[in-house]
Amino acid sequence: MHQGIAFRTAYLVAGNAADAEEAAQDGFVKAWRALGRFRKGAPFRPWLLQIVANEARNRRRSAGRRASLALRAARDDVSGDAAPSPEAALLAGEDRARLLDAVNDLPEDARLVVSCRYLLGLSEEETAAALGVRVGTVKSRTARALDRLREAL
Amino acid sequence: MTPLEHALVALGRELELPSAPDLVPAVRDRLEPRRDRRPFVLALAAALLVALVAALAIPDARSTILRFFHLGGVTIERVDTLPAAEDRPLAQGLGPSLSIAEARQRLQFEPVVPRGIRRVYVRDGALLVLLRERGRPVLLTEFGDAMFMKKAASGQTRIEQVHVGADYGFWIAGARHVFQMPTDAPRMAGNVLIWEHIGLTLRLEGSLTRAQAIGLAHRIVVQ
Repeated sequence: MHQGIAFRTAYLVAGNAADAEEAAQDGFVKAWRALGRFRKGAPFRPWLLQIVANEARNRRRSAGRRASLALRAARDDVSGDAAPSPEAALLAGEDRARLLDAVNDLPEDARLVVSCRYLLGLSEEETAAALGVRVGTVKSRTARALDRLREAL
Repeated sequence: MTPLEHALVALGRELELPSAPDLVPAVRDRLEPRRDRRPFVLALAAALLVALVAALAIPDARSTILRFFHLGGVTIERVDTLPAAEDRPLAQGLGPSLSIAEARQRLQFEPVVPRGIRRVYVRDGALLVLLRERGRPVLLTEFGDAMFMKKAASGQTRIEQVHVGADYGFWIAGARHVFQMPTDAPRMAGNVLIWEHIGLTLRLEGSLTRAQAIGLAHRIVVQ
């Protein structure tokens, strides 16, 4: 749902659940009040995420701190009878922990673009809206971030 | 995608982010305090937002639902293609008729009973009353906050904001639209007037003009 992706985006930007919830709430209220300015035919989700992420950034700045991902591995092993996906098979145990550490060690801009694009699965357009940058900037930041990760791993 | 990108996607699936809270009640509460000043606009705003959050979350819905209107428990969706629906008479499938007292026992709201009516129907928590206006059948439906119905209207259907006395409503006319109650199969509907009156949502359906429907609605609520 949009609620879920809005909250998760706000969480990545703001760095904690309480601020993310407030940011998402404010974002939805502002989105409603600005619906008249929403461009007809434009995709709704990037527009909404832009508003929510702005709210989240304002909270992070006002708190005077760098947002922390505070990501936690859900489980050490894939449980159940279902076979792991090909992607999941690439990551197991220490590899996952090392990759997570490498993401967390990235500079803030790089960490956010990687988080939005890959961890949340946002499109380039949605990532650009959420981060308040151009799509071209998303592409270049993503490429640099991936280079850093390769060096770190 | 490179192996690293695949690995990042997989990492995203393995992370435990905080659960997203249900934002709808809080958002609705924040929009509703101003209801006293602009009741219709803000009630509409809250309802629209709720629907927008829910409906746009469904990928299939994004391509077909073009616009929303809300009034009370009624959601009106402007769609590019009408869903499949039955074509059945107004009086069909109403169930057994009830006395007014029996109906009141089954309803969770105090209905507005048109003068002279002795037998009614209850379905999906709504009161249904079969009227005759100018010799033609007209179906009156009443329901409270807890009940919802949905309408899908194509571009050939007109949706106009109207007043019934001091109450607000929508007049839906032109090309027929699709009407659905919670446990009913969708059916085609003709001209319809929907309006809110003291916490109730009322709906009139039949072969009426806009003026005739508003006149009848006014007589129903001002007895």
